[in-house]
Amino acid sequence: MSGNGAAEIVEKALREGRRTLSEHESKQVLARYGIPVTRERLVERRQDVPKAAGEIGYPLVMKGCSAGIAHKTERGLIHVDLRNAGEAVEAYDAILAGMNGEPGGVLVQEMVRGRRELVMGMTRDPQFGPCVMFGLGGIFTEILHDVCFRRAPLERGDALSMMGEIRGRGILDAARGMEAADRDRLADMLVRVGRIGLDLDAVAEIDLNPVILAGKNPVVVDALVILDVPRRKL
Amino acid sequence: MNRKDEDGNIRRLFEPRSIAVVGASADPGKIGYKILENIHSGGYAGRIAPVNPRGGEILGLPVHENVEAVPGEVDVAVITVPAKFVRAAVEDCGRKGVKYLLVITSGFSEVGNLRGEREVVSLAREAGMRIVGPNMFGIYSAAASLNATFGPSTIRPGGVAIISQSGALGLAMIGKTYTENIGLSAICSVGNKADVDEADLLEYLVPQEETKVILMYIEGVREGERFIKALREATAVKPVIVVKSGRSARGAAAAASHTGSLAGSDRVFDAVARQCGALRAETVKDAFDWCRYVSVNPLPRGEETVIITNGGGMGVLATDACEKFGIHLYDDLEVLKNIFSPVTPEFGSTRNPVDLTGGAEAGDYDRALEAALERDDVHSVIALYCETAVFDAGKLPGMVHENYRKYREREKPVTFSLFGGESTEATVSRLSREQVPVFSDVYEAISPLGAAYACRRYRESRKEAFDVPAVDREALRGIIGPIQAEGRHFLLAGEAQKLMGISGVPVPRTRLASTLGEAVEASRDIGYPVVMKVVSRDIVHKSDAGGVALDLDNEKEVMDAYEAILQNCRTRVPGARIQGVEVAEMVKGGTEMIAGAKIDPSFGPIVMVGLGGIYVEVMKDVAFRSYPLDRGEVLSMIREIRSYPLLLGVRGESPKDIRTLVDTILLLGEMVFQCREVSDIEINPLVVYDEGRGARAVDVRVLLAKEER
Repeated sequence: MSGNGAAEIVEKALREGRRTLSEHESKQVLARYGIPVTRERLVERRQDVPKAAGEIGYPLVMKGCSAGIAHKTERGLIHVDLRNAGEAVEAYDAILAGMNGEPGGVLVQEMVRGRRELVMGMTRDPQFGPCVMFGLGGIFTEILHDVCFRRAPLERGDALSMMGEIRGRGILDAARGMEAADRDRLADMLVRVGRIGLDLDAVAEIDLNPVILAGKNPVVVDALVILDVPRRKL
Repeated sequence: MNRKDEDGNIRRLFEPRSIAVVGASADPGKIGYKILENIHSGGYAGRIAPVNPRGGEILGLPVHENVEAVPGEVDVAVITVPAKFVRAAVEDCGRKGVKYLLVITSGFSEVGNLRGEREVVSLAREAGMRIVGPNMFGIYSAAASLNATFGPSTIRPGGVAIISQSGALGLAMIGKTYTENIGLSAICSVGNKADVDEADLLEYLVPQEETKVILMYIEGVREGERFIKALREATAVKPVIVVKSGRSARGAAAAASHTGSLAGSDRVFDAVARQCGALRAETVKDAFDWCRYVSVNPLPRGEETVIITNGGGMGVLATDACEKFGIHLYDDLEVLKNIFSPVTPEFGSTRNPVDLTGGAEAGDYDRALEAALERDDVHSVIALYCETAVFDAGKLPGMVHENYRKYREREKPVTFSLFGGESTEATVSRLSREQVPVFSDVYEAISPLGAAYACRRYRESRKEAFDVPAVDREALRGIIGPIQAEGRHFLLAGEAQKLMGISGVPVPRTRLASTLGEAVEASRDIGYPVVMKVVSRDIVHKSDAGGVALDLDNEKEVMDAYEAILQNCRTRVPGARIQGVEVAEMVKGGTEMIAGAKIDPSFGPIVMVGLGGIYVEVMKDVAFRSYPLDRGEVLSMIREIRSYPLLLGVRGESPKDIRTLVDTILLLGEMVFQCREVSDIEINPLVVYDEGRGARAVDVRVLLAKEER
């Protein structure tokens, strides 16, 4: 759980006067902490699309990637289930047009297949400091608010108990031909998310949504890290 | 069928002109003594006739050898003899022409003696008598000053009627009503409900003047459709509060469909009670608080509530409580200022809660309460008092009592929470004895107002007519008949789709194709993208055999998929007879819901809606209603589920076709209602598209009723 190089990514963004990391940068921070994220390449030139796509493997997801972009879905900046180079290049053009010249590139990403979506995150409570969140992901996060919190640092036991606390906990069990989720792996991820909060004062919030269960394995499919100038500790 | 007396209901049961106690005893340890003593000492003005073959005298009353020997008419006979003598006692009463029998005696169906119970009921029926019980504790009626129970001898007369299915709990509740300062108009225990049941009793209590509110303790319901009808009629006139045990029962867990397993009978009960406008209390304590409040307050005439307090903290607690119990706080600040600034001190607040500050005295409360009372746009008031040194404790009871009297006179509801030490507690006790709606805890004071609002809203929304869609019963039977003839109790996927199709439930467009050319043509007709599945009676698990292809976008993909499916199936299931493929519309996008209808063993037809797909079992986010119902009620069922916002459109999505969802639910309800051969229908997923684009029943399961014994 070294986090080597994570601080540099954050510092670079702060130097540029940014308050968010792009999806790609956010996932790099997570990856440095050993949290499983999608395989992906950031592409900035049209001619690089087929090569990147080939490396990741079809079918693909492509997304507009910039620190300034929120609401990618609503803005039509996510294209899914791209099955060949032709479709990928077409998607690249469409996404670039939709970005209206905002800086950044296009993320070429493996398409994670799985019907179960979870959410993880970190927020800083003004009194209690970094707190880790876990719950049902995707649109269900906003609708059902089926989430729970623990103050960091988390022990494994804390993380495991979070999984028994949400109403939708049954989604983690084997059912309807789906394997039981790898709870150890999930617990490990939650502990690590808490660690980021403790290590990097400049990280104000982390939002991993969705974390998709591909079979039994959780993978972070979208991520957002929000920054804040570190307050001096009293 | 059921005999009633001259008033068309069972009034003489509660207001008998004469009563016999069969099995009367001089032994104070016997039930036959206790009941007689309660009747005798309770002030009953009619004739009392103890019956016992031994004769003699008990409590100064001459004992008759049998009921037939009692002079004059006997309206009610209380039977307390041991089970083996009940039959003879019933025959004796029959010869006399008694109208009602209260069979206190136990030892019937509750211990498996179903035969003995049926025998007694049919004997009574033949003689034109009605039976309450057996296995009951008696009856109390304030209208007749009649306490024919073997419970407490002191009962406070008042406005609450209690119907109890439990004996011991019912008796304990009588005792508790006394200490809780609740006045009773009537109590009846129904025992085993061999004849008279809740529906009969409601019929008497609803028009009865003394009864302001009806409290029912229920364990289970028989003849649910009759119960639903009686309950609906009752709540239109008076608040009905229900305490039902068995919330955690999982009796239906083994049922074959989700509708079955999700509708543990308690959840159905809960839905039905709400649909009928009954207020379900979780605890007896809540039920008592609600009773106490609604028996002395009218229902509010509108939604605007004002809190008046002398303490900020208590005001905040009350605000939280109002949110929890669904009470709307008046929030027009300009109007509030106009009403309350003349009566609020300078440091106070005229916002809601109106804060009279800790310096408030009795006069300040009087003025603020008066100001709220005068306003027609303030519909209910919550008055809070924290004990302070400046408030003259001696003036508290008078202040509360007098203000309550004024509110009562003007028919505006008010509730008081008085919080403090010994003297305040003494005031709470004293005023509750005087039937003033005071409570010590804020939540206890406000929860009954929430119940009153639930009652009011139900009455406002109540409709007499149901929305009934047209279903072709004969066409349904045409499909079901041959399946029943086979002795099968479930429908195959194709049969279920067909059943939906002829009833007007939207299903995906499907075509059978036995050649490549036909498959291509079918796909073109249906419109891309399509799904292709092998059709073969030898292949059960189509996916495993490689017999399914999804999301086919064009002619080339259809042709490739056709070849691949045939090849896969021939290799993996050698010798399988393949009739061809089924080409179906690919159902994409939309929101996955579950919709169903079933015949509930106690409540009859019920409908269900919920979040569908893989989340059904996990979230159990479903709601139920009894069928028939109107469209508004279907909508309220849909709004009840937590995932309702999904249907309104989230993350920039368009709103979904809720109208089609409502239509579909009504159709499912009507199908099981019309065609009782169908016991369960469940669609999961029912994919609901954007508004105006309809829905598709992707997967349909239908179960048929097993033959009645």
